[in-house]
Amino acid sequence: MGEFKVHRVRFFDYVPSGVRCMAYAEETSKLALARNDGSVEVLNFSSFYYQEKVIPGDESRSIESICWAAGNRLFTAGLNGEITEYDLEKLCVKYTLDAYGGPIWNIAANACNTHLAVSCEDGSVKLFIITSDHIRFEKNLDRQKGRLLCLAWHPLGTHIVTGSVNKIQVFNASSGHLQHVLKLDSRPLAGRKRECVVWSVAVLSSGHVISVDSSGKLLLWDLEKGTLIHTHSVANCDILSLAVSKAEDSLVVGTAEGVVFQFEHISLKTGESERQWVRTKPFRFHTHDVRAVAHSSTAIISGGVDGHLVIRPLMEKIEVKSYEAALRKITFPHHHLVSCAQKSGRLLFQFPEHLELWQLGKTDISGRDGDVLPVKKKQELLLKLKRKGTESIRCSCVSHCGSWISYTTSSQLYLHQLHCEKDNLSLRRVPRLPQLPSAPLKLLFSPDSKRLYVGSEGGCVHVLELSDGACKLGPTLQPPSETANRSLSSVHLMAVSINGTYLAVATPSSQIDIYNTHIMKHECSVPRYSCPPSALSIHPTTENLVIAYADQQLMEFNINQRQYTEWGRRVLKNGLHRDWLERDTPILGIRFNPSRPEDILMHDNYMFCVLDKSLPLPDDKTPLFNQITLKHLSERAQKSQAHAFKITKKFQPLMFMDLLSDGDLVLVERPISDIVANLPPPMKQKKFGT
Amino acid sequence: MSRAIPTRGAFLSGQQGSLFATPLPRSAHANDVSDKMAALREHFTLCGLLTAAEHRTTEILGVEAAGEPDRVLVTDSVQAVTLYKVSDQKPLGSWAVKQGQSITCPAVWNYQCGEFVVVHDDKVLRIWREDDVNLDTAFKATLSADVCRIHTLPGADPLVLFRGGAVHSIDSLLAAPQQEIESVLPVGERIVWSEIFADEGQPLVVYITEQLSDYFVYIHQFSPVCVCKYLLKPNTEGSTILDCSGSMKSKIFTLLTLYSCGQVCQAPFPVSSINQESERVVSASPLLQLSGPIEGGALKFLDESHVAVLVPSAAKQKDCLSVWNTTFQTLAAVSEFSQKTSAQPIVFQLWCCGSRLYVPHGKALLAVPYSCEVSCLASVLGKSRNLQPSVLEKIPLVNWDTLVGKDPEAKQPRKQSKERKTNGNAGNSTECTVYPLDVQNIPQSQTEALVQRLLLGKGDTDFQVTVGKITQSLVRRCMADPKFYPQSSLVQLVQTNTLSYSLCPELLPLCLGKRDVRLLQLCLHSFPDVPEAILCSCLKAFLSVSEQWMNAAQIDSHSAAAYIDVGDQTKEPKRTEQPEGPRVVQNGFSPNAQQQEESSDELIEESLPQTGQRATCPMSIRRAVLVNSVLMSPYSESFLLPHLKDLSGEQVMFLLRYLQYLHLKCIGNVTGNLPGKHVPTVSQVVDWMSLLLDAHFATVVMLSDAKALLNKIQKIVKSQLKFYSELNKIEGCLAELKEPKCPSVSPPGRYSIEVLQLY
Repeated sequence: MGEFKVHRVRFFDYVPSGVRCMAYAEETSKLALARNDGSVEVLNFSSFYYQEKVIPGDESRSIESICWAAGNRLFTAGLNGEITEYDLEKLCVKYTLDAYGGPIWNIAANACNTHLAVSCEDGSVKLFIITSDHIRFEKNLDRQKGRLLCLAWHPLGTHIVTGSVNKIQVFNASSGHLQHVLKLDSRPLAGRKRECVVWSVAVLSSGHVISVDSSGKLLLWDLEKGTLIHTHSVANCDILSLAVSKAEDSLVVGTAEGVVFQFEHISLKTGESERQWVRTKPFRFHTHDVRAVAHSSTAIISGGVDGHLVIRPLMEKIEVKSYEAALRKITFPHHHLVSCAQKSGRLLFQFPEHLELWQLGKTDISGRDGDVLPVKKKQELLLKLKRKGTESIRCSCVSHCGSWISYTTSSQLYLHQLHCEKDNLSLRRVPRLPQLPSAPLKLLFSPDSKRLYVGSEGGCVHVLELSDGACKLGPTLQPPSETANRSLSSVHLMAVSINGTYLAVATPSSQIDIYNTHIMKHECSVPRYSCPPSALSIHPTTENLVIAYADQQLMEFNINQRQYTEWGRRVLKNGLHRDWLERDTPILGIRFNPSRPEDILMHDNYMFCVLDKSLPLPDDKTPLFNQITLKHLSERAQKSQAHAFKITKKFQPLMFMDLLSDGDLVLVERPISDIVANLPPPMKQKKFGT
Repeated sequence: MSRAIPTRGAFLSGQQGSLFATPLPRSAHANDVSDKMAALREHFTLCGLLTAAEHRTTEILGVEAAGEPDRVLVTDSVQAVTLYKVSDQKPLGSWAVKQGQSITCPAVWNYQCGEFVVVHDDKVLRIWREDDVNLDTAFKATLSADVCRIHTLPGADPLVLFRGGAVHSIDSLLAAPQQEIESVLPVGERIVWSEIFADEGQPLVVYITEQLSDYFVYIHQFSPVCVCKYLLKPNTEGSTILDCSGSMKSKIFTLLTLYSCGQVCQAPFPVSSINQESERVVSASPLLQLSGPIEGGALKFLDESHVAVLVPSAAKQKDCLSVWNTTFQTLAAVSEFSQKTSAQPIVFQLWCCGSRLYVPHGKALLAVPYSCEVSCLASVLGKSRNLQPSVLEKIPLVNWDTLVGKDPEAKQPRKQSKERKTNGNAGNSTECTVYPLDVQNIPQSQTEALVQRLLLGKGDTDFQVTVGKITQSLVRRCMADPKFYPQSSLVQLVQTNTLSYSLCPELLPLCLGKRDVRLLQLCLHSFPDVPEAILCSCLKAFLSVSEQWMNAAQIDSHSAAAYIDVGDQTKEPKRTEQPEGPRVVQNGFSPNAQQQEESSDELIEESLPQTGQRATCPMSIRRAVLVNSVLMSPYSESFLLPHLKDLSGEQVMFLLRYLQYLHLKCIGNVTGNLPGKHVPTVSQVVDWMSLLLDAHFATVVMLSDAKALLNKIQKIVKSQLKFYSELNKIEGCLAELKEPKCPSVSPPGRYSIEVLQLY
């Protein structure tokens, strides 16, 4: 039945970059996070934590702090001394502005979104007015000695509090004068001079300042009087991050040991009106420094050097115990970093700074389920291509035949042709690429390798006609004008039918357009769904478009009839299995098996699934994961027990899946242990018995 | 070390008194009127003491009860006799002797006819009634001998104690005042203290005499008249008795003495109506250790577990009246008086009448009301501090007195056991508390019966305590009297398995002294906590005791018979011909073994399993059984090692040979252990061998006859090492087998092509 030779690839050395800072916008329920490599991601919590936008990093830009301002505007500031605003439509930097204060340690916007404040290395706090499309420098606050590592606005915007080494400063925001200096306990301990670095501060509307520092203490200060109210010794290591919930009834701190502590503002006795900050829950989801924490109304969000983003829902804040209530650990990107040349059996791996092209191995022996076949020809690294410039690679693609490689950075598209003469491999960059009207975001070669589709902003796709050694800009495919949500209209998924007739283009706004590439015309649009699509593919023979959405919903759309297929309607009507809907990662890839047209091959990070449309859909009473049971049943019993979803969790975490032309399955795994091995050693902790 | 014995703290209180009593803080203050188990209330002045012409304060001769609870009769040296109503602090009557006469004995109240009796000028007896105004006109009788004291008790005739030690009832004296009074005491003995007690309605006069620095206790009984004399051995040499007090209960008189070393000691005396011809020695055991040596002091027995002590406190410049709980060694109450300033020699006096203590202090006689309640552990620990007495009564607390056997009220369980005992042994009504004393006195032939009687009450809660007590007193008596050694009784006691070394630490040294190997063996078997030093002494004794002696002892040897050929013993008798001592060891030296040692090395290596047949036991089976009991005892290496060094070279060799023989027998057996029960395990044997070699390596290496043995041992070790290293080598191969050869389990590499089938 469904038998595959699986190329189990574990040589993709992907290591997620550590999370440096985060900002959560309660109104839009979007989380912006910046990583150590300078990349910025936006996750939409209302669409099942889908990673909507990824803005690749730049070597020249290191981000220290990120903030949302004025609704949907995203600012970062970093050690290059510049404030950067991002264009979230085009997924690129909108502009940068030098603050002239040396490296910037923190950036924060006030609650009414009129001003941005940055704290600088030179001890200055600079205020910027947020204008409709830019920011303008307004003034400096009283300059201090030494770097100001963190900054916080009073919720009413009256004060700005900064933290530096051994001190916390309170400024009057309107006058710009220093009001208090709160000194930390810096007495030498055990004969050693102690420096207490205030890593983060927060101001509550009650007029309390909360600070966390390198001595592992959380201090509570009175803003008006400038006095210390309470000291909580939290950890024996640095507390690196702090976030307070909007309601100011809970806060969360992240430590260098990888532990996250929640504090709650609660009355010690029931019925008592007086409340205190009490440490309530420790969470240990990280192995390394927790550099960033955020607090949504229902969850604690933490990220750190180990690259994981952890969303821990607070059970008491969630009314319906459902999908939302599950702990999320997001380690891998929600898009493919791998592309496959099906005909030649080559894999292109995308790293921020380079590409690797690998030739898969071969075997000529077949075996039974579970057998590891002897590899006749080993895998081979064909080439390593370094990116040009300082910008990280945004997207890359290899053609079906394996002779074209294209990649794009934030601003530039690159196209390379690969010549294979016997054992000699030569790579030639296609010169003088035509100037694209808008920045390239997504790349896809047509199956015949004669075209390169370049997805761009606004849902449009530029078509590049390829001929041997040259490239010509063709027409631009544009969606019909009624596309509403401009901010989510950058192309993030593309699929082409095997005969090259149809091209499906999807944006995170769930707009899916289908073009006829023969006549370069918009064919039709798939009805809009509430969730962003996470994967799509066109069936090679029936030309049905299969779409997976971030909420795990599956759709089958008949392009010719411009409607959902019969099976797709059945799926919609019956609903999918509960276990299927509760998986934590979205479907990342969909492929079809030409030899079995009824099958849809899908994968997410933790499973590989063959959906056999000819079999009945499972209801909630039958187990979804039934492969092990089926394996031990007789063939007849198997038939009666089988259902449409054939799932294996043998291969995980999965980053990519494709089917080669010869029917072999390629699965790219990235074991967590391999990632951990590449991380810096965690802070040494004394454990009992060691 | 020892098993947890719940009552041990109280049981051993006598020995541990010094540990507990001194550091205790004042737990109660004099004016602290509370519901504590013992308390001293606010004191008041009963009467002032007149100062005589020579600037000497009046000396109080005595404070005696005067018939009614609230009345006391105070006799002083100036005003003579005054009758007080205590609660009113008011004299009811006063009688004085004529100028030139002096009162020599405190006045007492004759309960029988409601008269006062006083003695002046040593011999003149005066008897008067309360309404008599003048003492001169009162009834007068002149006796023929000097009177020491008159003692009265309710319901009995007053008894007159003469200086010579004779005791006569006042009636018999009045009938013939001039009758001849014989002198009981030898010349030089003088009465220092006397008191009257009632035992089951029978009066009993106890007095203590002093001769040089020896103290003698006389117990004078009536009906039938019988005087017992005991030599009281003080606990600390050289300290003098400052004051005494006593109590009488269940035919045991307990004497409490306050010594000048600051100790309160207690000594029990059996009150038997058997006239003893010879004096017996009773040693006082310490009960309380007060602060250091004192020059004066007074003591009063209050009840079963309380004693009042009046001593000067040098540090505080004050006199302290304190009430101690003797059961728990705790200070129950303290009252302090500023020290006397007068230059007169300090005389500490303390009387107890009704529920008040009387203390002459400064220029007044103070009355200190006190109260004592039955003590329980909770109250001692202060748990009941905040409880109202009524609440306290309701709480079922463990009464420790019941367990210790002191509380007269709590006889319930004992009565049951008594009934049980009477079933088996008619006519026996002895109580547990009497055993130790009985043991002190009864002849050896009767101890066995006594112990057997005791063993009948195995189910009793205090069985273990009783066994411990009996053993202790038996051992103590054995030590005091070398002729006394009730071996069978001791064996029976040890076989109850309730004893431990710490419960009767003198038993094992005693056995060692008596060379009682059988009892030693039994003790080693049943004691879980034999110290290493004793263990080593036992081992030494076992190794050196003569064969004849061993044969005489009834040693059960069949536990060793399984691995020691009885035929071997034919070699042993040689040993018996020689006196015990180090020479003995040479006999363990069997020529057979020597031959073997001389035989070629490879023979040993090859014939390891067979050597068992060839080897002969260097010890006789009885000795082996004894030594085994040592080998099987628990020990701690670091403590044992220094004591092992005391063994002589010959003893070491002898033991080593035996151990090696055992080892051969062990490894010759399939299970690696010796056959039979109560045999040392192979690891015990090897551990002892290593220990012995560790302790005596330097000696053993120098001994010429040890060389062969060492060689042999080393060869065994070598061959075993080789064997184990070979096993280690195989281990790797075996581990390989364990790992499943299934390829799917092996971790996949960076790249693999696998087959996946989905159903």
